Amino acid sequence: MVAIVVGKEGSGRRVVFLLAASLILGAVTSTLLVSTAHANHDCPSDNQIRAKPGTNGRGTRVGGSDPGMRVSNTDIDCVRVSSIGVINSSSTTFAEIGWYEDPMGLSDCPATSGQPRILVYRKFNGVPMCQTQPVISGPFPRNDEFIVNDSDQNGVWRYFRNGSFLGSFDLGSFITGEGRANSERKSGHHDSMYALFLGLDRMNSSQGWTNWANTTQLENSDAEYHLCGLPGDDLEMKIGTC
Amino acid sequence: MKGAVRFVLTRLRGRALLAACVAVFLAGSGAVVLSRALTVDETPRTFFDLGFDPTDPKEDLLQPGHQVTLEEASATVGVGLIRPRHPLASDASLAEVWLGEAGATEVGLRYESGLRAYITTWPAGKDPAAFYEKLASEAGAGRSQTINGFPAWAVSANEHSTGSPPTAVVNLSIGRVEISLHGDFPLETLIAIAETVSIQPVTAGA
Repeated sequence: MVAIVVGKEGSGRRVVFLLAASLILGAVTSTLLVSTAHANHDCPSDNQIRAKPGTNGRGTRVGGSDPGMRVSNTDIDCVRVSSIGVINSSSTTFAEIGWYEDPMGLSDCPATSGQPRILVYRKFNGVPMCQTQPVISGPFPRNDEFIVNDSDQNGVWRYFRNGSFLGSFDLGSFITGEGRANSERKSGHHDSMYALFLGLDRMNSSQGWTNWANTTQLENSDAEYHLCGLPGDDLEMKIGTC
Repeated sequence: MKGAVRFVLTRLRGRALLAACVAVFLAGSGAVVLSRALTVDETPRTFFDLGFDPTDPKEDLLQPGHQVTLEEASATVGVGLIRPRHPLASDASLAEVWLGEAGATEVGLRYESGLRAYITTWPAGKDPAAFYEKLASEAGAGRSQTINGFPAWAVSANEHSTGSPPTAVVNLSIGRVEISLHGDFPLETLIAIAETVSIQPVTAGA
């Protein structure tokens, strides 16, 4: 068919037309193919809200005499995380606890299916380690207490949920640091990043718990969500204004 | 110009034109795929990451922390300050000295080469060699070794999780003091820098 049009009057325009059509067709076809491929794992953005208290500590707790951290079970395409933790001053080593959903296996932790899973995580000089933990049973939403601390400053950080010991990580010479409350999602708009922390505490030098104070926002890379509750010990990360 | 077009057209016959169309088709496809590859950033940062990017020279080296002189840092942590003496990291190429705050008596050194050194002290009773061995075994990343007879742990940049700053790290312990060297260098270079680490006095005015 292509050969038929060649060599006749006006064939120049036809050939140019054919070449142009091929270029456009190629572009359109590949765009459709690429778009289809990305439809299943189009998780292009890392969105995060982080907050910290004004004073360092040996640990972070959400709960105590307060309700704790909100745990939800929502429809997730990519990843969502709600967590607290303590990080060293060079930001290379930290201990983190909370919960997450990761149906596509995009993180360093086991993929989830349906329900959220407890997060027990650490990073040591950039090298991650995630302890496999059970899924969280409903009903949802619920509020749970989470604790991560190194009370006796031996470098071993211990993780607890609702009073139950979950495990520990030895982080060497890391014995005190800055607290964190954190919410993340890896999705443009679909996945929820709602987070609620009721009763954030830091462990002081007497191994007691003190309410977060002078809390500030470190980062908000999400255009939809806002951090509410500053500068206190109850924080909410929600869509819309506070 | 018209002559050139006519020249091309007279040679575009049958299969030749078909081949030309296929080539243009592929060029269009390739352009789209390449543009998507250049614009879609799939994993700019690791998940579960509580911190900032320590490789960014605009970030404070220690947070919370403040800049001090080498003398002030040395006075805070002890008599001498453990640090390297290498063409990529020496007092002459020291760009910034940082001191951590509020119970974290950590010293941070940033060199002009981009190398970062973090100095901390071990908790009482802790065995650095045993910790490094356990770390390499549990994490499946990095290796425990000795450098100049001192216990050390070394990890290459590609052993970090996806999205982490691709930075090689060498931790070295001399007595109760640990220095952690981070740099965008091959691990062998970082180990060579670590081999020059010693406790050095701080000269006045440093």
